[in-house]
Amino acid sequence: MSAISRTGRSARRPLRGAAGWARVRGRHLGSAAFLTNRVTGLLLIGYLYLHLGVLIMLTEGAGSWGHVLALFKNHWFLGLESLLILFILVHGLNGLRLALVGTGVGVRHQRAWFTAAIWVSAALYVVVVLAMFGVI
Amino acid sequence: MTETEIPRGAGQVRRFRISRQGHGAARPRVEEFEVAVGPDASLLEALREIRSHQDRSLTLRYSCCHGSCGTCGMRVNGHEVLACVTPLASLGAGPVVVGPLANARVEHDLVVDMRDLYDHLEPAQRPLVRQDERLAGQEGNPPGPAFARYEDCIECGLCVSACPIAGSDPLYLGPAALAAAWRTVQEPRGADPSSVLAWVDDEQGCWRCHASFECTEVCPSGVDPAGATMALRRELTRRKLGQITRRGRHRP
Amino acid sequence: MVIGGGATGAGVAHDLALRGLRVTLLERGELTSGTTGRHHGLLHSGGRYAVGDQESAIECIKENQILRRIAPGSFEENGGLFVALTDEDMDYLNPFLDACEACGIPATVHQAEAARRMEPGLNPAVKVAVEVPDATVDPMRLVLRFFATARRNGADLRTFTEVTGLACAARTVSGVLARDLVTEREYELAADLVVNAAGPWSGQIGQMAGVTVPMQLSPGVLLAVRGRFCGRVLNRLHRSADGDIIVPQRGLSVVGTTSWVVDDPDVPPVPADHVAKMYAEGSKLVPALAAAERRSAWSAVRPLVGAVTPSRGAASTGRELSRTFQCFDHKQAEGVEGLVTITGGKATTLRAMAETGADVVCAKLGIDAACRTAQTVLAPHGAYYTERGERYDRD
Repeated sequence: MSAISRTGRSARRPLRGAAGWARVRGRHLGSAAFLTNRVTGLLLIGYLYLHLGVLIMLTEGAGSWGHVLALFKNHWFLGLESLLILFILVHGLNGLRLALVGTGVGVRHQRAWFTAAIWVSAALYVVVVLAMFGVI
Repeated sequence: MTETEIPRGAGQVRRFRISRQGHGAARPRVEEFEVAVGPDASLLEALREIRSHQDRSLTLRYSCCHGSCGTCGMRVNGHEVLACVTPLASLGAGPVVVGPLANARVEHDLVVDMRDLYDHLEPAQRPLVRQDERLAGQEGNPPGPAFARYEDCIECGLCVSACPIAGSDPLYLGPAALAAAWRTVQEPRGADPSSVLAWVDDEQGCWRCHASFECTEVCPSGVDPAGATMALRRELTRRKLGQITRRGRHRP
Repeated sequence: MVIGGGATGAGVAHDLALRGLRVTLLERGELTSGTTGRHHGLLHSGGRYAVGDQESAIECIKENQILRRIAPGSFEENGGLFVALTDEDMDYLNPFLDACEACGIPATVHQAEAARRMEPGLNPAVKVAVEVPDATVDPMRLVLRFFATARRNGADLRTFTEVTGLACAARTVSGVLARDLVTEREYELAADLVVNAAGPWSGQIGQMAGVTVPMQLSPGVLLAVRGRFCGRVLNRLHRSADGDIIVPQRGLSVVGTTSWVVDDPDVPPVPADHVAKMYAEGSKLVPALAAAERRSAWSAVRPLVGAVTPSRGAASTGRELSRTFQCFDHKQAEGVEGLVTITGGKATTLRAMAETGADVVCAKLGIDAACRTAQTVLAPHGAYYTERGERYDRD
């Protein structure tokens, strides 16, 4: 049941598609969280396709492992992988915040939770990068 | 005062870049105006000055001049505000960019079509007056006798303008309607809270919100629509969990 | 054809539509933007006028009761107090009580301790407080209910439509020249009768037909501060003066007002010393108000009917004129047919004003229809937006 169909006038609001949500000017921290989640989400979807691409490379036969491993050891690729981990951390930790706040738990502290999620992601990102490049 | 002529205080000259849009026009154009204003002047006073003495074709909505009617909502330097309670002194020194609210059809210049907002508010069945006990400065004291007051929501549409989902999905009920629904659930006053909960329990209702919290940030009246939306979700979740844990499943 | 989308226009459009007339209303801005939306927000008990202006007071208390019946759920109905702080105020007590009784205004005396319990924010020096049936009204939304009902009954309400002239030939007004500010088009509309309900602009509209409307434009400054410092309306128990009333509304406290005279009804100034006076006078009633944050300060023009004669000497403050309304049939005064002006009055008496005006209109048009506005419950204010009916569609 939707009251929208009752009035039948839903189409009056101008539909701006993706541009409708991508406003940055005049926004606050909650919007930063929303935008970050949406952008990392889209990028992670993009990564999935990339991952599929790599897997397809592996189906090319026994010799393909060598290509894939070479790719994995490339520094640029490692850099991208670390970004991937950052996106997963941010999207995941913010996602936890959303799961709680989005069912009415801790709504008052939503800004603090996002700030915490960012700091934790940053800290873990540093650890991951150091581990990736063999420092720790 | 007994003088018949009150001299206007010498203030400063401010520049305004106002969005002008003809009825049915595809896009707006920007026009610049300069106005001499007093030190305490509000944005609305400057706009009324422009309208009355410089360009009578400028259209804008206003009424109460103190943030109770909710008609003077607009976007100023990118922020959703009520023009009547926005001191020019708070807008920095440069030119002030003024445009109509977003996510509503522009009728002309700064006037937008408010019918969508009211269409979405109506099914919430929220009465205009509520009971409230505490007076300002009374924190810590026992609450005084209950008195009646208007609901905080002044139907200004700033929340809808700021909402990214309202900006991209025309079917979303929107923060104002959801806040109104929560108030009806909290304090029914003769309305039916179950039907209102059923109304918001929809993919275009309270579940469509993506928690940007902009609505609460811009609300000039302390309504907290985001909190209300999350509270509706909490209530719905509680009821559904309750249904699952009770013997057998019962769908209302 | 009603010119003016304020309280007067709303009342008249509603009354005439209810009597079955075809009403078109033109307002150059948003409804109530002229001056009605800016008033203090007080549903008068009439207490303020009981001693000095009995006619006004009796009108007020009668309309107060009618409005509560026809617009239920539209007010913060908490009552009001007239508060005595000084010995001088106490001298006013008995005349005040006698006058309230004479006017039919229910008044209950509370001693200092009871008053402080009722209103903890009150000045501790309170001596006595008289309770009267004041209430807070949302200035725009109450009037919007009249408009919504008028529209339901077929009235054609055209906002952002400015009257640029009156079609006048052989000393008869036959219509209006209008400019639609939204479509940016001009057009002419014929009318059997034009009702000038333009409030502070009544004089300007009158000039378009060459008639004089004796008016005095008297603005006053109002101050809204953050924080609700009282549950009910607080008045100072003395003769009408600046800053002697605090009207709470939602989470605000509105202090008013002052009074002076201007010629131009558009954008009256907001003198800083008036605002300071509101803080000063308001904090006499509620000391905490002195430190309250300013939410807004604005001025609103009272359209007072009647001209101050030159023999009065010193310049007028505008407080001397009665706040009752008047209806001018310009045929009688100046021989111009087809035009009626209704002006003056205050927001609380909008329905009564409209009844008188509508009676005159119907008499002139030879229509025999009784007024039913005192018994008709109004539509909710949202209906103005959500309901269409047959109306002028710009698209």
